[in-house]
Amino acid sequence: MIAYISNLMVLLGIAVILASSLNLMVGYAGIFSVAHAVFYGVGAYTAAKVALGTTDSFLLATAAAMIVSGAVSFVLAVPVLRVREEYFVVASIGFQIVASTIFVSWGAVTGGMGGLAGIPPASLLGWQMSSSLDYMLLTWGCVVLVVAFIALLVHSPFGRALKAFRDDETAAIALGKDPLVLRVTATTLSGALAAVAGSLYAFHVSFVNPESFTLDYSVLVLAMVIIGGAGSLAGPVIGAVFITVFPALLSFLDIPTLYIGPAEQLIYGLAIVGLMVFWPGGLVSVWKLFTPGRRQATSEG
Amino acid sequence: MIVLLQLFVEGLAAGSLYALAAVGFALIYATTRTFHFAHGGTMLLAAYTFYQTVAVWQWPVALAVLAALVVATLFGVGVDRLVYQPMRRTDASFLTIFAASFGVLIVVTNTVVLLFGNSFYSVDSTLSQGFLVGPIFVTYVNILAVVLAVLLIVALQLFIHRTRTGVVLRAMMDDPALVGIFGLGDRRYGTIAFAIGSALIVPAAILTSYSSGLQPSMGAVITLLAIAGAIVGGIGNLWGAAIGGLLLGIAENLGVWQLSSSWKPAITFGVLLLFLMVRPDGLLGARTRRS
Repeated sequence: MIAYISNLMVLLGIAVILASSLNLMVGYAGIFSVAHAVFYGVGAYTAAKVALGTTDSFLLATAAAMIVSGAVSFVLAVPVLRVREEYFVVASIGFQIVASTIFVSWGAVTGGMGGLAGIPPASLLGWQMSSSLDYMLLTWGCVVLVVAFIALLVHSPFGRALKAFRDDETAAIALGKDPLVLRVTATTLSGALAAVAGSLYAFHVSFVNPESFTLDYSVLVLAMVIIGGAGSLAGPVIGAVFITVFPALLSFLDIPTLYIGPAEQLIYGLAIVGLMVFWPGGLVSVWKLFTPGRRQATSEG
Repeated sequence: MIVLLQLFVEGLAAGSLYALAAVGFALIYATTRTFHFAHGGTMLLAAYTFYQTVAVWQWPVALAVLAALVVATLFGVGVDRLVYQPMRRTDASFLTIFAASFGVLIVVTNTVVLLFGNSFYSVDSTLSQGFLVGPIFVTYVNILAVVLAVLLIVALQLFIHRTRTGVVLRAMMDDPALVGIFGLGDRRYGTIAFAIGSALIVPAAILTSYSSGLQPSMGAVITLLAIAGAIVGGIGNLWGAAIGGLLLGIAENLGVWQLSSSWKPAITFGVLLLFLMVRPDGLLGARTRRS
């Protein structure tokens, strides 16, 4: 039982990290991306390579993963964001599809369809992980760090400048902020943080293969952000919880296995459309309707 | 050399269909400034409606085509009326509207999966056959694709230059401010743009069912191709979208000469990226205006 719950909590923690990091791009920088699974995957593969070849140190593997993912993010962002950020979403679909093909085809590096297996358990400063409980602690430690980092970022001058651009571009330019630098930085950080989730995944599951990093999963992470509420700190967390827990609820209805995936996605799609038409702020804004409290000065998009 | 020519012919045919999708998207975007991401969903619905009526229910082809047209047009207009217009009335941001459009595509794709399953269908017919022109094999579908695309795109241009409704649409394309005025006052024209744009993609859907077959993932792929084509051609320009779509079709198929066909999206992406870096206004686009 403990193992089951710990396992679920690890996956939930990974989802929270992914949704929060994507939210940095989507909710705060206003850039839509359907390629987040690529950075997750690049992080996972990099961490796997480090663990298989060099060391099982979680810190080193994750650092390497963050650097590689961040670099890939940067390389994608610079040419596309230079022009129009609306085009980023189109470029990101293409990028995701291409990346999936590369994950499958570049056998020498990624192990092809079979992926990389036999990843040793992580070790953190002498603490050797073995049980699901260990990984749960590690994961949620990372979640706290990542969310805290994002919170600091958002409330810093950098974060305020990002939000200024999201809310009124002309005014922000008039204040002398450079849109490209801000957006590329946000995108790069977003990719680097996604790599943390990738590293956690690689160590926890001890193998990585292309099936976990597809367009479908990118769409799912984006759904977490949108449904939870983009542009808020709690939103992605709520979205991640909702989407991770929801399938468990669906299993109480007797839906044949073949239909569960599409049925879930259908419901998320409907939720997104419904929310965007009525409550663009996502579930977070619906929640706020019922809890009148401190009105914050910063508004969400 | 012969292989290249053969691939070029395939590319022309595929590109013609992409051109139809791209022009439809460009028309909608240029007139209503809506990033109709769900455009691929229109194609999905048209294709599967056609398949269901012609292959399963054994309707005559003409009736099946009509059914596909009706479904596609109703869908396009429906999404505009039920999703985009309410959102524009509440002054929703570009991203919010885009997210809703994206949600619609997810709904359509998964509805198709639930109804038809994930596997691959195709429609058989004599159209899939062809004949040799010298050493090159040309199918009737190939010919139909190019002919239909040319006819429809030319017809569209005539429409927007010679008819009253068309001129209004052209005015909306030239001056976005007019969109706002029409948006508040007379939403008919936006709906007309959606209807035409959605109808344009139907021939592409039908011909694809004959040639490459149907699969639920088609929706996302054709969305990518339509938008990429419109961007490469110069967003806001209908001729540009047509050329962009054609270019992508040819590039994708020529690429098969060296790479396996699973790399086709990579080629599309590569071309798109190239244009974004080198000529972001696209081939025929106006100066990129921050709208």
